Amino acid sequence: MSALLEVRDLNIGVGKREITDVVSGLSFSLARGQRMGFVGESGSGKTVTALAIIRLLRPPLRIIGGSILLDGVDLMSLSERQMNRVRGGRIAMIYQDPMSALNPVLTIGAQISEAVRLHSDASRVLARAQAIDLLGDVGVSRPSKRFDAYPHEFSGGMRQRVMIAMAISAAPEVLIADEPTTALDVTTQARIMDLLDTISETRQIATMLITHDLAVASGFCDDITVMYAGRIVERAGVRSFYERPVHPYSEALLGAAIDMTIPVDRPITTIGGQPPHPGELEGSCSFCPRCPYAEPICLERRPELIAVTDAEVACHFAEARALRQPETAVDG
Amino acid sequence: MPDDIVKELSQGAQPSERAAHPRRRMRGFRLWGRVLLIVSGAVPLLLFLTFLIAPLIAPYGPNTQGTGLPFAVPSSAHWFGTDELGRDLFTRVLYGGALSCEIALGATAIAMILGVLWGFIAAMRGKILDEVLMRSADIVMAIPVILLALIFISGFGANELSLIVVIGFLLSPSTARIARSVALTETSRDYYSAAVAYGASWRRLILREIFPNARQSLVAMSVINVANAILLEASLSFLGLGIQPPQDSLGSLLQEGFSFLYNSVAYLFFPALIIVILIWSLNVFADQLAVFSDRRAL
Amino acid sequence: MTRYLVRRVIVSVVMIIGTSVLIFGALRILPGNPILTRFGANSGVTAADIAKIERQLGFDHPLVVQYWNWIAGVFHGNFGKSYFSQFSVTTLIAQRIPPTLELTVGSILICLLISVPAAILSAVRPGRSFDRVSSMFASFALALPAFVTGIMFLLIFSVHNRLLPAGGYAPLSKGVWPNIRLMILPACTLAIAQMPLVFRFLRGQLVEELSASYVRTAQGKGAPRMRVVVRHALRNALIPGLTMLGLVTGYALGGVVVVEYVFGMGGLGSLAVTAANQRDYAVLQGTVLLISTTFIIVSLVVDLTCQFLDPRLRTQPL
Repeated sequence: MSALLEVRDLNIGVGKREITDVVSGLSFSLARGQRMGFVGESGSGKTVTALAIIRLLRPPLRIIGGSILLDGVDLMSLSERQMNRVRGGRIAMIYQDPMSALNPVLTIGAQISEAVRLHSDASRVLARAQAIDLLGDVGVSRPSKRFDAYPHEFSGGMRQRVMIAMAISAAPEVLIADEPTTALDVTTQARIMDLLDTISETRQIATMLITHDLAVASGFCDDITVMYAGRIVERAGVRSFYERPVHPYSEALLGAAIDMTIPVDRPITTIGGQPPHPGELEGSCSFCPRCPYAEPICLERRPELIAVTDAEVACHFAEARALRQPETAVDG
Repeated sequence: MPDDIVKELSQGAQPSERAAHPRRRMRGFRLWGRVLLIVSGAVPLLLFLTFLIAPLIAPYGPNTQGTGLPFAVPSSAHWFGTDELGRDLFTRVLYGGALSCEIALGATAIAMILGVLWGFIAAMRGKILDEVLMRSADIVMAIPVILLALIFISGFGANELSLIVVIGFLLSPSTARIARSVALTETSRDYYSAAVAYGASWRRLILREIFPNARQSLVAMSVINVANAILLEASLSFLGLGIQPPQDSLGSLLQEGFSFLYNSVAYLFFPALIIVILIWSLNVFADQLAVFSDRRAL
Repeated sequence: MTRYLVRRVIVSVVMIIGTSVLIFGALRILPGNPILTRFGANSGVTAADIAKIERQLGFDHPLVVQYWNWIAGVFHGNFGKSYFSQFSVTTLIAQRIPPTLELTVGSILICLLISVPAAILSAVRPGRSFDRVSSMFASFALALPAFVTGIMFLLIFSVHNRLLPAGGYAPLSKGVWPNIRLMILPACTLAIAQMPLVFRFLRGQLVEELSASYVRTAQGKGAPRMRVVVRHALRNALIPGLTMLGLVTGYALGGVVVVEYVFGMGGLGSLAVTAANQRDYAVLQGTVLLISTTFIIVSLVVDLTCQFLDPRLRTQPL
């Protein structure tokens, strides 16, 4: 299966004269229909990567190196006009806060129709019909009535459904979901993830799910990519990730996930310290200051991403760690 | 680039207005702002001082006729040329500027005292008194200022004192509005409520609790008022409803010069230039003051 | 929504009444007797003559009654009688409305025609050359009083180059071109006074809107830049922009006074100036009342339109 979306050595920087790296050497590929989760804490560069893929980075953020290939075509070489056809038409994105992500003074119907008409020759009437169909597909009741409603008249979950409808309206091949459930309550979260599940399955849409919620990622994704301080530190299939996390950071993340089966009086494990500022710790492993397994070599050299059984990991001790027994296994 | 901004941006935050505003650059702004502040403050100050010593430096008397040919072009003998009666225009502009500034400063004093009291009392007492005071301010502000000025001058007569009083009064409602909002941020503070609770007197409340923190905004406000007062006086005198001959103000010079539009450009040019320079530099100064106090408060 | 509407209209009515009281009161309470001033110096005028004129004009009634008579008259379209000319105030005002109306509307149109595109171009590339240059222009224009601009225009176009006549007004009935020829300079003068305000405000609003999330969503859909700016950001920025327009109308109504004077146009502004000079209180109060009421009504309309345009306010119970 050839990769649908391939990112090679992406570097994103910020600043006018002096450039600080925010994302470095990022490479991954997404196959048709594949679901990849991107996990990491705030500031790890996940959202910036997503925006870079559809070239919506705003100054002072800039792509300073690397390539982004969609079906073999380098998106960096496209003109703005061609890129507009890609956005929404081939790669669509949904965002974290559906209230502010929708235009408050336009009806949701108008916004969905706009998405339809931007990528087809549909007339207004036809676009309206399609929009109503889409609203039905995403689970909005009485879609023909809701067409003329405004975003503020909807609940959070409903708005996210509208966003999803807008995103799939032009039948994209890739969907980037940037923290789609973070702003929602737990029950609504589950429903929205179910919707995404159905949609990506039936329409064969490859999905990049960006989240910091490991539970959500585990239920949806085929593969997990862990990002830390602008770099990928681990990449593994979902099962092996949850059963046998290799990188110390992944281990810590999973350890920090609250497990309902542990005794109530056990303190919640957190990862002490803060992620480094962009540009800090250039020549060493970025996780080193917070890593419980750090050795002198970690400060001297930056670990490369190497393949071990079932995973790719960026750690000097990756092989050794991959072979150890899963003592800290968490039920996936 | 400041770390916190980088962090924010890498989390996907949108670049805010701050980064986009042409004057709010991160680097080099401080210096340019400082320079602008000093220059824009120095220019009006220098002009004021020059007008102050007008009698000392004026080459001729303001009413001395025949010092040169009528409508003479600017020359070394007459820096701004002469008027229709051969009077030196440079001298007249000096005296005119002095009177205009006198009126503007006097009016500003009245506007500030009246406006600040108006606004502070409204903020401190609240409820009905606040509503009444602010509605009256709105009513005064609903009439375009120059029309109201016409009305008052028509009643009072057009002379220096009435101009000071009228302009001062007309600038007070907008001052009151700003004073009120500034005071409201203070009255909502805990230390203010504490002062009220232990029975602090009015005077103490205003002077010790509200005033010190409101100082910055009030200074900026008074600078703007001076600019507005200059503008208003010039407009009124230009219309013939301000300073009357034989007195001179910048506006009345324009009024006279206007009738000689086809004879002399200098008559109009120099008073207009002074007016524009004064208004512009005062506005820029107030702007810079606001920017600087804003950043300090962060 | 209707509750808000009613409340707002009541506020406007109160404002109109308040301004009429202010206008009337200001002229009566201030020292100075206009009749005495005008006629007192004439020889052969006795105190009895003055008293007779005063009685004719109703000065002997208590102030409140005078006010009431005036207001009652206004409701019937009768603004009273001019003190010093034989015309009724209503006639004088009616004659003078067309130039002022044309000047106000014309200047606002010119202002919008230039400020709106300039604000858009500045906001889409903030900090770059166009933005810097136009912001500088705006800052400078802010300091230019209308009479300075007007005089400058006159000097350039009428005195030194004889391109355009130096003033006056030709009603549309005499032909479109003569009308425009005389209107263009005054309208531009007034427009220049308003432009910096509109430009700055709109630019600020647009920059804010352009950094909002929904703009990113629209771009993510593949919408071309211009469409995003106009259909999304501008749409949102225009709502507060409309409020600004109301304010600008107020400035324009004040500005007409000076501009009409400079260009010798026989409009309401110059009528007010003449009346103020002559102490013709009846004309003065009528003119000022009309202008300020117009402003209050325009503000009301603008406010209600804003409420109507913003769907968030439309459907909320208020």
